[in-house]
Amino acid sequence: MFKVRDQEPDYAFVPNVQAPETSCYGRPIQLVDENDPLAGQSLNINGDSGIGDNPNRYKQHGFYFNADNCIACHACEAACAEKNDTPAHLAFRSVGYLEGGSYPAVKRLNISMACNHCDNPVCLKGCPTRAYTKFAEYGAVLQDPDICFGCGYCTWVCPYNAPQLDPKAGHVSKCNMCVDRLEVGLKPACASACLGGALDFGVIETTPEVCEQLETRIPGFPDTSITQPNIRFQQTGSLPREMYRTDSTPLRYIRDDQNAKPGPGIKGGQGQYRSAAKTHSNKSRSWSLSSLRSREDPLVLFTLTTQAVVGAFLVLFLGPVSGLQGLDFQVHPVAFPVALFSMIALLTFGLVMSTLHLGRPHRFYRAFNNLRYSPVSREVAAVALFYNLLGVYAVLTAMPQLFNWLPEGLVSFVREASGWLAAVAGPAALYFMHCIYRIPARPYWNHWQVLTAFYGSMLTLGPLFAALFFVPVMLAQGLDYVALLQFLSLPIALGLLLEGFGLYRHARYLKSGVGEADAACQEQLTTFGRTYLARNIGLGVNAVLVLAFAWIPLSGAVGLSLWALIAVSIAGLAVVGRALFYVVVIPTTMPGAFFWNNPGFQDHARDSGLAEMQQVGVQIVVH
Amino acid sequence: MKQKRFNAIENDLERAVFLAEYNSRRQRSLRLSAILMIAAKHGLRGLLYVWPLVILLFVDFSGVWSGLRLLLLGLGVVAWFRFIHNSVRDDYTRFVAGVLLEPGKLGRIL
Repeated sequence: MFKVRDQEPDYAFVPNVQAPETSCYGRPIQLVDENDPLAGQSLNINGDSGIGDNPNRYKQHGFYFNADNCIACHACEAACAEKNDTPAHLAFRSVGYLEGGSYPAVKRLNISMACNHCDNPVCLKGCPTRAYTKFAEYGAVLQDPDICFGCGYCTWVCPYNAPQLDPKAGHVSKCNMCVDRLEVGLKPACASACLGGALDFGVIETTPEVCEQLETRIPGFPDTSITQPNIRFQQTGSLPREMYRTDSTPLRYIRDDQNAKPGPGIKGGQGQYRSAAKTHSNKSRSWSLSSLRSREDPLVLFTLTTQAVVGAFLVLFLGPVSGLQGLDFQVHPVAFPVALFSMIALLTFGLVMSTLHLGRPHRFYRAFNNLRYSPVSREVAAVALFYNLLGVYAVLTAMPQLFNWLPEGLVSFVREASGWLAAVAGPAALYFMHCIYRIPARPYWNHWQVLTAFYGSMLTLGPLFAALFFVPVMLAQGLDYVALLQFLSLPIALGLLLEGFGLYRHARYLKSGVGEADAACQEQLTTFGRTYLARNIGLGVNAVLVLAFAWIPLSGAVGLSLWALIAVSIAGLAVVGRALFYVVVIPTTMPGAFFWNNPGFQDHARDSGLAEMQQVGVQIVVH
Repeated sequence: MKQKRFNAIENDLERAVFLAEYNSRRQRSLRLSAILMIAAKHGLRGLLYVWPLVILLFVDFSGVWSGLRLLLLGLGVVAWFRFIHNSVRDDYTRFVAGVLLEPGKLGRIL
């Protein structure tokens, strides 16, 4: 239990105030009913029952930030770091800046931000291991690093960058509202340490004594409809119409005066700030191939191999049904089962890759723990189901002799049933895979193009795998492979066209979307401009060539060479396209400072060797 | 498993008593049982993702395919090892190393 020091000042204690019954989101502030068994129970931290009497324990609490008073002294950061003993490269609370205006009328807005202990905690819902809990006491969203296996999905879905992934420890940790201090009546360490009276804490929807506003928005703060955050703001000083981030994220915030609605406390005609892309008129297109590498590289391989295997299985299983005789088990009694096992090996490789992405790969099995809410759990479960059904189908196809003791009809029934179920489970797994990326806090991903990209890869890479496997076999056996290639051209072309159509609509969506999407689009067109263009041109050229080859039979050395070139081109472009997908995204984070939370400075520190000094606080890239 | 761990003991006499019990035949056999249980637990979990490849042990693909079969089998075993090796070490550190085990509570390891 937290020890209260002698002569702790009054401002360090949580005030006992009257609060309304519902929050501004329409949710009850009292989190448990009087008759609920939880009422009266406490967190009972460290088994210590000596807690203070607090009539507001079961009410939603939250931080209050008065931007008028913040002088960016970073005392809140320091107090938080000391209280939680966080390493230099992590901060549960950080102060970021927005700047605007021109000399001499320059304005800077400082924003201190930690976890907002939201009413709709997307981190909790997204976590596949169920490491998060929304507690009835104080409404705190707590996370258990011991349960976490370090997938980092909560850091993707949180719009405020509250959960902090520690690559060294291999897990996420975050602000816990200092619940141990709350249990003895003290405010969280950050609020107690604030020098300027900017940061405060209490029951949500209550205004601190010296404050007057109770706003849910402030410039630089993401859309509150995503998570319904429990933080309230005051910002009465006038600000320029355009505010810029001081970190290298290419975003600015523009006040929408035209659509301003008059209201209490709102100055005449002043609307809300919305994010917009920072324009780089002089930034030229470049390749930036080395920047395509990221922490998500294992996911590039995992998603592509899974999509390829699902597509290949559909070709092998449904091909004979739709009139393709060249890929039948009867025609290739050995090559067919070997192809099935090769697909299983490829998918095993993909699954191993997916665990490499984790901070604690050996705890991969915890991914199944949140099937009810987490798209990650659903994806893993669906891929595992597909994998096992594929395994059953492959085993029963390749080694029926192992099951001679069973009735023959039963074996063939189970084989067919597992095949059909796998044919359903595979595409379903890809659907769940796409759901992972439909994240409101990452507008670049939050579009149906993700689904067309995934199904497009399934349609192109799957038949390509089948062709690469069976064409050499047919060639060695002296069989005619041209009809097979012509047949497989159709799904490959369809996949390329589907992906191209999705990319076209996605590009239009990015232009008309929110600021983060537009900024990601700018990055795509400038930093990765040449790579993006080359990928799109390659996609189009490949689609035209494959469509042409569907009508014009190609055989001989020339035909095979052309097909080999196209296969390499399609596979290479798929890898480049998927890598772009992961590196281009710009999330809706809180603004950073000049050094802290500034991706530009972090890159510079890594390049210059500054990052090797632990106290600089730059996260290492290795995982 | 709420036993005091060896590292948490500061008193020399208490450490000596602990070590005498820790190195006894009974504790050694309990530790071996615990290790086997942990290996079985994580082995089965890892098998979820590699079992079709392990079954290739029972297949006899003829000619040129037999080499590919061995390659796939090898890949399966490597992947299996990849899934279990850190897990066993992690659980051993958490549940077995430096702890006096009790026979009735071994099941908690699972």
